[in-house]
This record gives sequence, C-alpha cells and structure tokens, in this order.
Amino acid sequence: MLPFRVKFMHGGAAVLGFGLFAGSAPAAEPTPAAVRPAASSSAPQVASAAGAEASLAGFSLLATGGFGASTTSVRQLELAPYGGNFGVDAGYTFRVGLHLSGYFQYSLGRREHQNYHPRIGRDFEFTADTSSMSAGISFGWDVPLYALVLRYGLGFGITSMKWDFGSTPPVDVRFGGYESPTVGFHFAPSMALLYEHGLFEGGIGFVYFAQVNGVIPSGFVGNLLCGVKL
Amino acid sequence: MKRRALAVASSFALCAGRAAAADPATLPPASAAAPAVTATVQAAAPPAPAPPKPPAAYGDLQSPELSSTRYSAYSLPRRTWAFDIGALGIGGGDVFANLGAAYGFGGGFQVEMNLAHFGVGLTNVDFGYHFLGTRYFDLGARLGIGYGRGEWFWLAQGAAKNLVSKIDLVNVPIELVASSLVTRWLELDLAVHYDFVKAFGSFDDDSSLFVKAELAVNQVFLRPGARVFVSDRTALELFAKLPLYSAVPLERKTVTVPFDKTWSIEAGVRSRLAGRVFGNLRLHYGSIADVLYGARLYPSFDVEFRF
Repeated sequence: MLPFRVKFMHGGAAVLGFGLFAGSAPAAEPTPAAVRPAASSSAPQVASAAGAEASLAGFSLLATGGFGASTTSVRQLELAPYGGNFGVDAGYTFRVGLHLSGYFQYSLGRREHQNYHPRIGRDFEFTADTSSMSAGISFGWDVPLYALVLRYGLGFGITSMKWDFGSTPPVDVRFGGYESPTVGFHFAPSMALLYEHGLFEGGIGFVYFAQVNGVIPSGFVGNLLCGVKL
Repeated sequence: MKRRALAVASSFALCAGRAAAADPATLPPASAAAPAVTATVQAAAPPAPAPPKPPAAYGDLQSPELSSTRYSAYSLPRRTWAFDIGALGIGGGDVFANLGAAYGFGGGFQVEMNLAHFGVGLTNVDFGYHFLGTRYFDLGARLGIGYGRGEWFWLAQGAAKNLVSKIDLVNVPIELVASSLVTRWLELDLAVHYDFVKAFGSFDDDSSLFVKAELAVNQVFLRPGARVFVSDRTALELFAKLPLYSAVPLERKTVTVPFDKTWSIEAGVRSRLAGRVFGNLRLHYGSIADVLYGARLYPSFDVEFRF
C-alpha cells in the first residue's frame, strides 16, 4: 500500500496546488443568478458576506494548541505520536481570500502499552513511546461567514516521529531498518473557524495529517487558535 | 447653466438612455435651451469614460448556477462547464483522485467524466437528467458506465498488481435521486442506487483491490443526506451510504458482503470561494476508507470551477 500512496499523493498534491492557484484568478464572466422559486420565499434571507471580503486581507500569527489521535495502526502496532500538541501558524491572506501560510507543530504523543502478536513466536507485551514534529506550508482560502471567517487549508510538509520501544528490539515489531526519528512527507487538509476583533484573531479548527510514510500513522488533530491579525 | 446643459447633453448622447443613473439632484429642470445646443455639444464633447461595470451578482448555493450536483437531483445549467479537481474520494466515480469534467446541455441533461481515472486504466462516464423540478421537490436520474482494465491499473503493486492485472470489469451505476428544499436553509436528498458489475477474467479472489474499492461489487444502497445552508456562500453536508445488498460476483459463486463492511457516512463543508470557484472538504468514516487509505476516518477535498 505504501508505494501506491506515494504515487497517488504526489499527483494529488500537484493537481490541487494548481487548482488553488488557478482559483485566485478572476472568475469567468458571471451571469446574474436565477434563484429557484423556493429560494425567493418570504423566509429570512441568509446573510450576504460580500461586505466582509475587504477585511480578509492581512498577516496573521496564530498560536495553536490542542489534542490529536492516530487514525491508523502501523504494522499491527498502536502508535500515538500526536496527543497534546502546540505550535504556530503564520500566514498572509490576500484580498480575494487566498491564504498562504507556514506552520509548525510539536506533538507530545503518549505511551501505548500493548500486547503484540507476532506471526511466528509467542505474544509479548511492550510499550511504544512516540512523539512527533510537523512543519510545512499551507494553501488555503478564507470565506466570510457572518462575523466569522471559515478557513479552508491544504498543507504540505514533513513529519518527524520519535519512537522508543524500550528494551524491545525494533526488528521484533517489524521496525527493523528504521531509525528514530523517522521522517516522512505529509499532506494536511484543514479547516478553522476564526473570529477577528481588532488585532485579535482566534478560533477552533482541525487538521488531518495524512502521512505518506507508512511507518508514521496518520492523525486527526483538533486545535484552539489564538493570535493577532495585522 | 451652460455646464449643466453640457452635462445633460452628454448624458443623453453618450449614455443612450442611461441618464437615469445620474444623480437627479444635479439635473436642471427641463428647458427649451438644452435641446437646441445638443447637436453642437455632441460634436465637441470628448468621449466620456465607459460607465463602471456593475459588480458581479451571484445567487446563493441554492441557485441553479451554483447548486451542487453531487448527490442531488440537480444538473448543470445549459452551456455550463464544470471542472472538479480533488483527491481521496471513496465513491466509485471519484475514488483515489478526481479530475472531473462535466457539461450541462440544458433541459436537465448533463454528462460527467473523471479524467484522472483514464491514467490508471479506469473509465467512467455518467449521464444525469433532472426531469422533475417543482418548488419543493425535484427528481433526477443518473446512468453511468465504467470500464476498468486491470492490466493498466499501475497504482497496484506487488501481489495486488498480479491479482488485478487478470481482471477487466464493466460497471453500470443507476441512480434515482430526490431533492427537496424544505426550507430556505435546508435541503434533503435521498437516492436509491444500484451498481451492476460484470467482471471478466480470473476473478476468484474477493480481496482484490477492485473489490475492496467497491468497484466490483453488485450493490443496492440508499443514500439519505441533508444540506444546511448556513450562509449564502457556505453549506454543511451530511450523507450516509446504507447498503441493502452487496455481493461479489465471483466466477463460481456470489459472495455477499455484510452491511457493517459497506456502510459509510460523510460530513462536509462546501463554500463558494470566489466567483464560480467552490471548495469542498469532507470527512469520511467507514470500512471502505480503511481499505483504501488505511484509516476508517479520512478526509477528501476538491475544488470545482464552473464556466
């Protein structure tokens, strides 16, 4: 499955990167929308966000903190390189909504005590202690949502996972040939709901670290974000 | 007074009836002198700059130009192209990668293809027909045909490649989908979907990638869903795939696949990013995501352009 993922994800990254950049170009000649009859009912109109677009532009510097969990097991092992985490996200939003940023995140991880069932030999218990660091760049788009901003993102970067199996030789748990820390590429779809007031910017969000290196588990991380927007 | 007369004359001559757009407060009362000087002024006045283009007007995500055709009864408006670039889908048409191209012929007809699948030995074309449109209830139908040539499926590696390379298959999805705009902010969808699959070649292993990706499974399922329009640019979407019957047509027997291995749910957000550019981010949960990507919870994303 690993070679398959690598080939696929590289292609997907290139395609989506092109798509996001193309999206920043002026849209094709629009025509006024003909709203369905149901949409013109007498019910309260949903808010138009057009007026808020001008305020999207600016630099933002956000501190992030939250908690994450692995969504995959690796070679029958339960690894938890995410857990509690903190980091930083710095970027710029263009007036049209395009958001470019760089991010860094350190995840404390946690210890996972588990019973391993080898294909040959007796079962044994051991503890896997893992943590990780991730960094990369992100292409995103800010969409006004009433007084809030909905930020779509897709990050591309590197994750470095430290692991320690104690006295258990790595080869016994099919980690032979790997060294700690193990490094791999990731891409990271994300979403955040942000509130801006003056210089303050903060909100909640999540990021999904889809790991290309099959030895590093993918993970879902929920974050609180707090910082400034200039 | 002379300047005012010049202004009025220029407005009439150059704006061709758009004088109503001018500030009425600056307009003098109608006088007999103005028409008399019009011809002279028209010859001498420099060309005025073109009036500013009015800002683009877009409807909300329920309007026909902007509504989602994915999992709904709706189809693209006449002479509208839609291109969809994304990855990590789990449906038969957008599994792995999506480079979709769709065109609306008008009258509710549209055709759609995933060009990305061409590169990996898969082909699928879907025809859509939105044949009933009322104020609160719409019906549409989808008919597709897909062909997979295992020999060209280079994504598979090792043992999986050996298995897949011996298989060719034809897939015919048929779907009837109902959409209802219950309120200004809520749309409900319900689809009944049937996948017919005919496999050719050695096909005795129900663990092959085609089967796991549900590209080689005869299946009937319901797909209820809801869209909540939280603003004119953003909607939340929630869909479930509830299979009633799933079976793998092997050479000598048909193996049924239990419900717990085929159901899935997805939650997503769709926004109009700019103009006619849309962004989608979804989280999928189900066995098929586990099979395809190694995790039961997995994201997919795409960007859609309409012209």
